Amino acid sequence: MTIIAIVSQKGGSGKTTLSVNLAAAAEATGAVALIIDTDPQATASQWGAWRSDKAPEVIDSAPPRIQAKVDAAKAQGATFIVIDTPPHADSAASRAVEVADLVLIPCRPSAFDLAAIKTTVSLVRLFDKPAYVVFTAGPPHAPRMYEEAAELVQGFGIEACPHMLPDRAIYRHASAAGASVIEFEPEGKAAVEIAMLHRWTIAHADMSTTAREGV
Amino acid sequence: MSRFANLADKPKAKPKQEDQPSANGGAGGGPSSAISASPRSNSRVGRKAIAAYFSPEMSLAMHLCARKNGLSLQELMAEAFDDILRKYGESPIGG
Repeated sequence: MTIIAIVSQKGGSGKTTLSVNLAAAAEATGAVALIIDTDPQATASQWGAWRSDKAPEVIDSAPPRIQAKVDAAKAQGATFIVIDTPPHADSAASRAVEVADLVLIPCRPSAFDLAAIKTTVSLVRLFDKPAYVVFTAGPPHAPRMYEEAAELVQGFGIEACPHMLPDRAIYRHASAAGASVIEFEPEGKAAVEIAMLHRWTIAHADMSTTAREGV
Repeated sequence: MSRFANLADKPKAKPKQEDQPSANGGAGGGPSSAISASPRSNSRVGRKAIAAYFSPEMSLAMHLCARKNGLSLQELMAEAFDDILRKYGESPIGG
């Protein structure tokens, strides 16, 4: 089983968009995916309700119960769990990081947003978890800008994921329809990008669990 | 049909009911939840909340300290308040 925590202290970084689409990408490859929504605003849960709880399902959780829910979900057949966390929530973020195999930190490629990932980086370091910054909501064609942003991220002692999710209108259209971008436009650019990110995520999460089990 | 609905804290709202403020909404913990919280914690009865605003770093450090030592944030704060009372020559209250 793969457990991914989506953490960012900054609001509007695309945590929920990343969570639901990553889980949907996993589901599309045959996994039994589950989204655990720890955000009191329940945005992911709202998405789940809009799609009448069609897989991947979304369940809510108070931070102290994350571990118990992960264990129960595993027993009920879940193979890919994404934990969506609210911004400025130390309790939810730390519990999510604690149970995760891999932490993804969605971040807009802007100086203000990048500076705000420092706190999140210190959190993943404390729990010694593999973590990567995923650039979200940036322009689709700006290789030089992403290069600079990745360098800045490295300055905080963390790597950027080579796959990014640039801003595309389809994310808004899909969410409003209670769909993932893969369901909404299977051949679209966003669907390809999220599928690639999912494949990369699986490879890196497996690497981290194998490394730990090997010790 | 729903595979994991039994794991939710709150009974799931139907999309059609989203505009109606539900009577039991916000209380948390439905009777059918497999892992549920009690609707209202008795530990708050007859007690007062003390809140303050700190930097994100302080908030994170306190949460992590609590987690590392297996304490709740409240227990950690109670300990800190007793320490501070002793420091200023007052009697500790003990929570």
